[in-house]
Amino acid sequence: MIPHVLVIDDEAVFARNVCIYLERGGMRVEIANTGEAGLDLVGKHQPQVVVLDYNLPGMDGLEALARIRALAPRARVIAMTGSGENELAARFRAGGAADCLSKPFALGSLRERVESLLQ
Amino acid sequence: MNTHVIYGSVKGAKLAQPANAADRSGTGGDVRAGVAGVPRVSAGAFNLGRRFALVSVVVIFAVGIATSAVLSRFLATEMLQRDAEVTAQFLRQSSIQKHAESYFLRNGEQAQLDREVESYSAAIMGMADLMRAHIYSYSGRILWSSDARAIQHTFARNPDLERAVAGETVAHIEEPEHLDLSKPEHRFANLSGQQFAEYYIPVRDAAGGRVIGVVELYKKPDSLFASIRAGQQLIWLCTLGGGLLIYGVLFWLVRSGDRVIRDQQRRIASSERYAAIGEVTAAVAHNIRNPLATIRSSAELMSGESRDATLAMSRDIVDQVDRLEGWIRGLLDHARAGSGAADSIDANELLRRSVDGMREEVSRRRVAVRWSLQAMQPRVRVDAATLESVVKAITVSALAQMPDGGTLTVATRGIWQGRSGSRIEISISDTGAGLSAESSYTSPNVPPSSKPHGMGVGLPIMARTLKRMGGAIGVHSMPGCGTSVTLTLPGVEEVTAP
Repeated sequence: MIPHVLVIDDEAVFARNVCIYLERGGMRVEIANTGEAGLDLVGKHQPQVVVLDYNLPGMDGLEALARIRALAPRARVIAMTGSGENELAARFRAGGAADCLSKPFALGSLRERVESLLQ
Repeated sequence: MNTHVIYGSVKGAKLAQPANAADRSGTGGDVRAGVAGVPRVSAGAFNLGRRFALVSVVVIFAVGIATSAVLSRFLATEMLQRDAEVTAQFLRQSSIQKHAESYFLRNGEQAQLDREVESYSAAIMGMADLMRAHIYSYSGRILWSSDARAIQHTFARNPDLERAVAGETVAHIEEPEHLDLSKPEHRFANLSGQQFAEYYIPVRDAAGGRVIGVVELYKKPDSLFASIRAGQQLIWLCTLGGGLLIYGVLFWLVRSGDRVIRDQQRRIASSERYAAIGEVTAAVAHNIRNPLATIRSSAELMSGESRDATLAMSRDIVDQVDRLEGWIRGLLDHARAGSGAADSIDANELLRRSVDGMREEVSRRRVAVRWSLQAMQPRVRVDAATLESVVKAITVSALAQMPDGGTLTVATRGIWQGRSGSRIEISISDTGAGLSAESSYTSPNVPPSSKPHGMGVGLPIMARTLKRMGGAIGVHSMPGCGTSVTLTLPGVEEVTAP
């Protein structure tokens, strides 16, 4: 079964790059640029892994995480932050995120974590 | 859903909490008041120590003088009155009184009366420190005097004599320079140049009830006067010493307290500066790291892509670099903008110009612009470049909240505050998704494909910029119902006065 990953990030070029890289690794990747669009896709397609940015237009990543957990309890979430605060990472983990990465990060590092969560 | 007022949000920085999460943030209370910026500590505005030094000297000095004067007068009056009472007791001795009664009542033979007054007057003149003496009948006629010229005279209007006839022992000190020459009896006595005590002592009948006459005595009790003077000097010295001690102690206390207050104010200002630096640092970090993430990921992918894809990623990298440069330039411009001179600006014209400059973005997002501008052309006293920068940033963020259309409402309102002058309110509202309690309110720079251009450092810097201009910023947002940002700025009185 092809792993299904959803990337929710309003940085369109970055989200596209993540998509390309993960697809090279044999994954099926969808992109959403807003929290609402991402939740819509989570509800419809139930991805296995969600790569979620913190700063999104409208709702932020923490709120989106809570709603993803409600919509798809089995989905594993990897949070991305731009400011690298330990407190923010702690809050993501407390909210149920499986992992947290601070931008900029190596795409390979992201793929490793995704593959780890898929196992 | 709750309405949240977002204090100072920067993408990635900490935010104030909504009212229903006050216990989480520890801020508590109503956060609808909006942002007032960092309170500035002005060390020179109120100098507690100097003000206390001036006011307390005046008050302590005035109170001290008043108290000393009252006490001195009381001391002199009481000591004199006691001396008069002692003298009255002496005269009331039966051995002396018995000689006077029939004399005052005139119920004896003349020879007998002459003998009686001689005995009585001898007893009087035998008193120490005596200068002069008059013996008055009940009607006020001088029956006997140490100055023969005064005998049988009746002087009109002597209030002291009248009080003594009423039964009161009257005593007071006469100063040479203040000698009351309205009293006719004073003219008989050569009293100039001397301080003396004047007593009016009522003489009562044998039963001790009815006043039958008055003895007036002029005494020069030097020892008494010396005691009074010494007592008064002691009062003034104690007042002076006590006043100085009180002033010294209070001044030390106030000065110590003032130092503590100033130190605490400096600490608060320092803490707030650090907090502001932290907020800006977080904003800078976030707004740099996102483009860096794009640059890095594009560079990582370039090696495995086709030529066309590699060229596209190269352009992406260049675009991100330009984005970073634009953001940093905007940040520097914003930092510089606050140093401009305040001028009288037509707020309506500035708003129209700012929104008109973004008509392409407005059109692209299919946003309708609604104007609700005060017709009286509200003028604000601010730096035009700074205000334009802030308005642009807010408008950009508002448009970012409406990616698929909506309404942008721009309004101005003048508020006349009487003697406080006038204020102008500028509000920019959108019908976007609104902000949750944890959301950020930001105006980041845009890569060509997604976000609009903007300032990117958010409300904390805008709030401080506006505070420097004498204004404030408030944000009200309801999730699902849009966001409204209100700028309050000092008005130019001659236009906005009712």
